[in-house]
Amino acid sequence: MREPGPDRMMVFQEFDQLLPWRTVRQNVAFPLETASKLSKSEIDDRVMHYVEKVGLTKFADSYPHTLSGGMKQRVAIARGMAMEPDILLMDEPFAALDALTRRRMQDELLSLWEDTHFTVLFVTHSISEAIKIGNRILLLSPHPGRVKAELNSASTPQEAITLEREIHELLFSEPMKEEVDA
Amino acid sequence: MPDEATLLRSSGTVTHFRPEIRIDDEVTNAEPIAVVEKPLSVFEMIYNDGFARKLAIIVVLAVIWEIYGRYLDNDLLFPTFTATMTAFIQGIASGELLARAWGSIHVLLIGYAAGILVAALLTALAMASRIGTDFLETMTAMFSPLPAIALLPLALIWFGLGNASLVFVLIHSVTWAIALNTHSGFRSVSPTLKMVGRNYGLRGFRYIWKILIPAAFPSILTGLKIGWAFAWRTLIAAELVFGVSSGSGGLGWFIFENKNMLAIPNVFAGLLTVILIGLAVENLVFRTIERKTIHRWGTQQ
Repeated sequence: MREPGPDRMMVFQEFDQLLPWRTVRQNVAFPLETASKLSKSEIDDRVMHYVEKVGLTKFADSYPHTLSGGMKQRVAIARGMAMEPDILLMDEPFAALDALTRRRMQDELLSLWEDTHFTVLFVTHSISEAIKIGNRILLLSPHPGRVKAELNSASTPQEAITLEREIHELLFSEPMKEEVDA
Repeated sequence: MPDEATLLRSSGTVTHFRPEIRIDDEVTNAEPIAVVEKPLSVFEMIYNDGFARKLAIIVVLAVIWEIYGRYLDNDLLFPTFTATMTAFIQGIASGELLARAWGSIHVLLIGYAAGILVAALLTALAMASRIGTDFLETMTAMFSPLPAIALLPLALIWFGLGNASLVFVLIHSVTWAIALNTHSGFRSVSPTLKMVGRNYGLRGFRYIWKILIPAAFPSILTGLKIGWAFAWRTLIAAELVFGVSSGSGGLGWFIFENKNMLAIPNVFAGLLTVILIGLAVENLVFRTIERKTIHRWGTQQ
């Protein structure tokens, strides 16, 4: 693997990852237009399918600057998913959102996953987010960034509390950044 | 700092010193809010309209012009506003002013288009390699302070008395502003957008066309506007020096000719036309492009 490609779609942390000169619909269609061999009508269908999935049908023809931060991230996720990539890479996609929106976005991501079962590599600084989103959790050590531990995520609330404490202890030995594989 | 309620709660007795307040939606909705809107007077409404304010300023200036012109009573020095308008309307009616204006705009468009082309080439070079960047920066630093009109004598020797000389100075006047703005616009495109483009496998020309140009469009448009203003001034000035190439020169030559014939109201009418065309391009062409692009995209307010 040498360079970025459309089989691995990236969702960034920054809100300015959407192309401001394209509407929501056109943003989601952009990677399909540039990197897939689908016909125009197939692209339209798929775009509207994923725009609907992230609950933005009403805003399909809005420009990004009229959307809130959470809506922009949802567009970016829809754009990543519309390509139906082998793996969706998410670099702290909810880091710049407020606490309430962040919780709602986590739930939405999980329910999207229930529908389609896609593979996500999700980077986050929040332990509880990692446990909530991930199936498998990788803890990274800082400088050099190596995998420090690889854990299974929790399935019951009780396990989640134990796991969170366990990760805390691992982190307190030295400061770390964690990474989740869902 | 733990508050008293928490302390009490941890000790087992839960006591609230302050009543809890929960606002019921139905209660708040039951109280209608009175109308708080206050209608504006007619004067305020007109005063709030930017166009109306500017129109008022122009009317006041025209009245002062007219009064001063009548007081001076010398058409050779300072014709009145009405005399100028008469000359202007006559010029339009006879078709002469329009033909002269078209003569100027025609040459201008050729020079402007050629300038954009040269600027695009220079920017492409600058984007492709570091030496290209240095080349663009050096050339811009050297030539952009050089007034285009100063090149006219040379152009006359190289290209002779004709449109070719005009186009040459026009290219010089537009290229640097456009190339510089476009290049700095490209360089300030957000790294996230660049990564997005790379993620979708965009390369080379498609990457520039689909990501860089739209993302840098505010700067590019600024460059185009500055370039247009430079070109328009340069052209009128160049035509004043020489403008007659194929029987009918442009507006600059019209002004020069009428000055020689001491038809000063016509000189004023020519100047008015120059101003009007400048205003029209700025307010109709560029304003429309701005409204349809960067304002709609929210990339510039």
